[in-house]
Amino acid sequence: MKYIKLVVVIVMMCMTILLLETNSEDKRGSDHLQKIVMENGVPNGVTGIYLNNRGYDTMFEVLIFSLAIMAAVHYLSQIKETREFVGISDESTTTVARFAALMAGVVGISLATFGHLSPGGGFAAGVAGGTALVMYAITSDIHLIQAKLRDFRVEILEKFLVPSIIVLIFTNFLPFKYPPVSIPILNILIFLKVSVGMWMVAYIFMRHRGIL
Amino acid sequence: MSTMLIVAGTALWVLGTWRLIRVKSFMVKLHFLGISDTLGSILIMLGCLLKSPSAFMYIGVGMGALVVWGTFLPHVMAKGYMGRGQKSGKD
Amino acid sequence: MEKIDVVGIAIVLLLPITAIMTIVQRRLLHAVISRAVFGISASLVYMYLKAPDVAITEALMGAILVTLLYVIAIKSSGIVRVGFVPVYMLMEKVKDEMQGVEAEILKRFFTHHHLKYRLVEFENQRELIQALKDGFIDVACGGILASEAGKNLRITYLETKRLEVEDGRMLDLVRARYEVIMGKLHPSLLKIVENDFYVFVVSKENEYLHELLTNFIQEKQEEVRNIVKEHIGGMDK
Repeated sequence: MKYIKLVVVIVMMCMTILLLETNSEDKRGSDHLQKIVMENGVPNGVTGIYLNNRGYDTMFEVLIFSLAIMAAVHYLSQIKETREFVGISDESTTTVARFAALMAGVVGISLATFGHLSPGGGFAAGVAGGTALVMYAITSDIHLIQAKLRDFRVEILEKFLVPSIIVLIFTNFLPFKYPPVSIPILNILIFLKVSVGMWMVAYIFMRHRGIL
Repeated sequence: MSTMLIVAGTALWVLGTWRLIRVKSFMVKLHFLGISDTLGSILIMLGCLLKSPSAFMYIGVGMGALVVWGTFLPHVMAKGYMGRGQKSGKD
Repeated sequence: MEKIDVVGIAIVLLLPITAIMTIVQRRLLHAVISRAVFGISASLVYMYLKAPDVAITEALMGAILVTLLYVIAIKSSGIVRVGFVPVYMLMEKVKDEMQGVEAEILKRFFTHHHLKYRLVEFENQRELIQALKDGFIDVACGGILASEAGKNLRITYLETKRLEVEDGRMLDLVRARYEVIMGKLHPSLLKIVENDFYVFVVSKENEYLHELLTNFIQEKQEEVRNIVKEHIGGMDK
């Protein structure tokens, strides 16, 4: 049994060494890339591509993400609500975790708003924001945070975000030829959607299964 | 000057790791690692900063984050190590 | 022959090395930390191939989020909760230290598998079995006989004793011996009725724990017999 794992790892090793072929000729796609960058108007090529030229992929990815969250919430709500919460209550760990949550939140917001200028983008920012919310919730009373977030009407916000993302991506198909203004807005919307979605899944898990 | 800083930082890394292997006790390991890794990384980043001052924003954020984390984390780990075996573990 | 990219080969070779490191670890927590190192080296490879977005996402997810989730999951399920009813010579608390046959077996089992455990004390066996069904504890011990543990719970077998009848009450050997020593009972009032087993009861959700415990007891029959001999000293009256 152990030998199978070793064989798999050696195969992976050979496959990764083959990755080195891609560094020899760099200049193949650079004209195409320049045209894309000029057409999109944003300096970050990757963001321009996945929000403007390949909008369908992003749209369906957001749909799949919200479907997964709905499925998790629906399935876990049927287990009865549970027992104690295992939370962390050690003093220094709590301080460090809250500080890390704050830093992750700031990193998330900066990645989302500057996503079209420097590497980053909506999805990485969403992961950072979700991690921030989850880490803050582990170290303090979770019902308090859910109540506070419910005051911000976070669930309604999340349900409105999906159609607005789809609509915004569809505006890129209009026949006007302006540079797409919706790219920074889309980055922020995706960031909000992913972090709130991650928070909801984590909250449902914590409420019905103790902790995660 | 910048190359010297980078070399000094890497030397600190290597020295800290070498002492790590030879020492037995956990607390001494933590002490050495915390200091050597933090100082070494800061020196390396200073060297990179001197080479290309235009990227000051990213390197500055990295250095600030390192200074804070590098002193926080060994403290937390030491506290966790001291408090182990209190609530769980063998009775 | 074209120029060999040494830095590239060195960076890419980090991936299989950290992957092998993750697989051959013995303890779960060490494997999770190696997984974080693997995530960081994957992020390094992406940076080398000039893809900063992917590198940021991989570093955030693979090294921080996955590690956090795994550590939380392990920490919350890695502590085995052992419930017991104090029984003389099988499992009892003597000056803050657990002594007895079952305590010794459990201690050796947990040390062997590097598990942490927590002991929860109960009043009587009915509460113990109920707590096991509710999911408060994972393993129940304390002189439980195989006939008393419910049908829907998995059972691990420990040793054999005989069940005796006295004045209409059913006692097992160890409790009977306890009462004889305390002077509450006379040996001639006891009659041997049937054979029975002392068991550890594991709830159905922890099949892995059940398998581990069964394998441990089956492999170490000799040790189990020695422990029984030195604590109780023989199984016949």
